[in-house]
Amino acid sequence: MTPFKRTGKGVEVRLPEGWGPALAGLVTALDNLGSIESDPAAARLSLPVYLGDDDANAQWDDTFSDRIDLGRTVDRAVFSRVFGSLEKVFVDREEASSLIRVLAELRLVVAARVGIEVEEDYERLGEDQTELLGVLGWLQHSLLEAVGVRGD
Amino acid sequence: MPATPVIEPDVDESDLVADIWKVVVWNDPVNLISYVIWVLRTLFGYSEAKATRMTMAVHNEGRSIVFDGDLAAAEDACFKLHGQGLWATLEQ
Repeated sequence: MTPFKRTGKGVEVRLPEGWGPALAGLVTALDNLGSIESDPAAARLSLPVYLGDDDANAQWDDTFSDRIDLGRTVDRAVFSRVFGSLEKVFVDREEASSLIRVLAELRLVVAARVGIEVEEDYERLGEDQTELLGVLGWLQHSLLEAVGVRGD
Repeated sequence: MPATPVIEPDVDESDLVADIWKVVVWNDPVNLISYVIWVLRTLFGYSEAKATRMTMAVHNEGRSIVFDGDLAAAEDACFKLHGQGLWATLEQ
């Protein structure tokens, strides 16, 4: 089964029944991240830009973090709207890009929460954790292929 | 006829080099290779070959310089990469 397919009307969303609402529900977790100090997922989404320079990083955060958060909020809204609606079947390129980014964000958050720091960490994951990361990756890769993974 | 005087600009070339900032993308065990290629292509308009080469360098060597420019351009590139969930840092 291919969950996303490029068509003349855009990318067709062809998820199995019940998957859309489940995916839309996952996004609520992204809206409720903890602090960088307490939540590894929040820390992963706020990595330093200037290595070894706290002052420069603080200035960077002041300038850019709100803009990054705003972009993520917009992407999540698209994700919730597309997957939360049973009527939305086709998405345009811009919407597909938002979905791709949120799938990446979901994978990063899940991976951070289960302690994935290096490749070897996957070996100690439970079945459910492995399956969730695998499904999210499969969806993202399928969507990348549908929009043209090569960016064309 | 007198020769036209040549005025040498008062520029220290080392300053020019120092003004170039490099944007480094670091490997992580989560983001898909296909996703990183897509990000580099869509953000910077790189060819498939160039984006793939950079992505594989990230994957195999742990990091790759994906962009360079003045500080404003490099910070903007870094901002865009972080917005896509890639870890990018700046260095001179």
